[in-house]
Amino acid sequence: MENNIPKSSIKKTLLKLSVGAIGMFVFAVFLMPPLYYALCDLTGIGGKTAGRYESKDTTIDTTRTVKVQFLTINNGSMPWDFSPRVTEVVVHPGEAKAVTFYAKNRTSKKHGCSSCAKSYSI
Amino acid sequence: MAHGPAKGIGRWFFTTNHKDIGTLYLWFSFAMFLMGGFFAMVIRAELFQPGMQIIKPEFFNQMTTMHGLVMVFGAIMPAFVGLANWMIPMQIGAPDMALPRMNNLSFWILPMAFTILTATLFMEGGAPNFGWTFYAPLSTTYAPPTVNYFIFGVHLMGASSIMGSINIIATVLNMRAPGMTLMKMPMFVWTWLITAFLLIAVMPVLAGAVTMMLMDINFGTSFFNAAGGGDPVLFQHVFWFFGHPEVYIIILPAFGVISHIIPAFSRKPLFGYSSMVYATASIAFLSFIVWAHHMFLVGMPIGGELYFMYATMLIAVPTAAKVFNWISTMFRGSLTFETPMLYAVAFVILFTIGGFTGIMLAVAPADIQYHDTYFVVAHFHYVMVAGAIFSSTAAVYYWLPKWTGKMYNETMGKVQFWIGFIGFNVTFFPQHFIGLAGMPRRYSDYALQFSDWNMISSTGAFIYGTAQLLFLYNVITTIRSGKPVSEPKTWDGAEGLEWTLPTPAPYHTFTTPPAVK
Repeated sequence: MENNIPKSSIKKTLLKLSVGAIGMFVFAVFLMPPLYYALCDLTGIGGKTAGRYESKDTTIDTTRTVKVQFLTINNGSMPWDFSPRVTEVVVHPGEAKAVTFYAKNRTSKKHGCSSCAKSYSI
Repeated sequence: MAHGPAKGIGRWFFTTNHKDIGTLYLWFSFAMFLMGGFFAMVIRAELFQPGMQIIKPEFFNQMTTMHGLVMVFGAIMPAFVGLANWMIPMQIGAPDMALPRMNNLSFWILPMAFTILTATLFMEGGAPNFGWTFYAPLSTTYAPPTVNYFIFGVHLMGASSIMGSINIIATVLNMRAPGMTLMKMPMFVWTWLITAFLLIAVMPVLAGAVTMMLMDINFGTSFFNAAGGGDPVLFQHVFWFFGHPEVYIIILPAFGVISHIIPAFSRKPLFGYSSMVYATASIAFLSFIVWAHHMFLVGMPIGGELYFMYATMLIAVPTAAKVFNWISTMFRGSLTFETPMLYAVAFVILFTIGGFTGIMLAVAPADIQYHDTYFVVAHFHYVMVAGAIFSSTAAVYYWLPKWTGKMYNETMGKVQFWIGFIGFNVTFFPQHFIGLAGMPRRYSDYALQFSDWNMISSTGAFIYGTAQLLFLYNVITTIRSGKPVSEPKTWDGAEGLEWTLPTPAPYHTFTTPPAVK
């Protein structure tokens, strides 16, 4: 290459850019994590856990009551019946109550009917 | 000095010629494009109907992961590096790239990287299955054992991109023809110069992210492991600090290509050249300060959500400046619609649709609904496929006569465009609907109400895939038996130093720099 391409300035550019690239790697591995934690501490941003999690016994809050309603909607083309036995319960927060649902397969097949290709667990 | 290429296969292994390396990059990226496309066909075939038909859910996850990785790092990025290698020296009047041997190295480590990555498909445990965004702890604690190959592959790709960018910046800053000031550079050179700076800033961050993963998996550190005092959310911050500039790395060179094709076929100079340059630079700057809009659901405080929401919406301003400039360039031009122009116009329309859905996704309260649905999939395929793939296809049709001295068949080009255009829209437009209706992305099965649109989407995908085979056919027949062309300007409206060179472009060009007025 006989035209006057400045070899030394290409070297200078190469050096500067390489230092930049290495600098960004150092920034990512060594500066970003501490910076992130410092910012989280400072502002309370982020999902960093604060100290240990401990399990707590749940207590039933009898001062409040919650009404829970159960609704089911069946697609008309579905070959099954599905409905709640009890449509409404009243519970206190923290309290466990069992409810039952009614399901009936109206086809003669055990599983794998063509129009309901997939069963979902709720 | 006046010698041609070396004989035999060694030419390709040992070449330091920017045109040879550009060709290698372009063929490599097309091979990767077909492979990533094949993965996409597997995905769409499985989603053709609800329920599991063809593959197992575990393999479906490997397919979505590999499709994303191969398309982003193997197809789109190398395609634009290939175009840069071919066009930048010819557009700035330089004899070659500034660092030709490094250029050879940065290409040849790419096939190694992708051999390592795709080899995982045949290994015990299977390929990476954690999505192309490889969020910890899916990619650390719960990763398949092949994750180490993935990490090494990403390191190699990163090294390749960084070397390629250093080369491009060194070339553009030091080797422009006398008289070509920065503000006289062609737009493709400008967009690539800015892209190269983005790459140097963020590819090391990606390397850092996978290095921290490597340490967590193999050496007992806890960067991303909450049980050891780390934080998985940190991974998402590091990843998107790389990942958001990455999407502009992909799209900025596409903007550059379109800024050449639209003026050429409008027979008018580009409207608002300097505003184009400043818009590109503003987009590049903004890309560094908006990354957490990918993370609206990690539990940021309201202040953070508001900041990232407004900062993201701000990007619409310079992007809109570009779109209006392209439209103004076409306004009252003597338009003709050869294949490159068809692709360029389709780019402007479809990219703008992708931009609008981007603004919808930027709205934090709305994103809570859209997050991780097919609406997001539709959005980023409108900007990645209709943006990057359409523009690189346009670039190949536009510059192919200059590269090969042969003209492609215009009818075949148009047929390929229309099949691809229709296939693309049939594939991805319905994904907006099923996304808004709540179909989550990355699942191998879906609820029955999404069946119809998924079937349409899959059909479109097969049409779009066929169009790419037709593109391969068009390029090969052009090279082998295209009508020879010899005038320097293939397109009467095209401007730029590359069109002052003979056609086909000789092996060595601009050994003495041209004078730029």
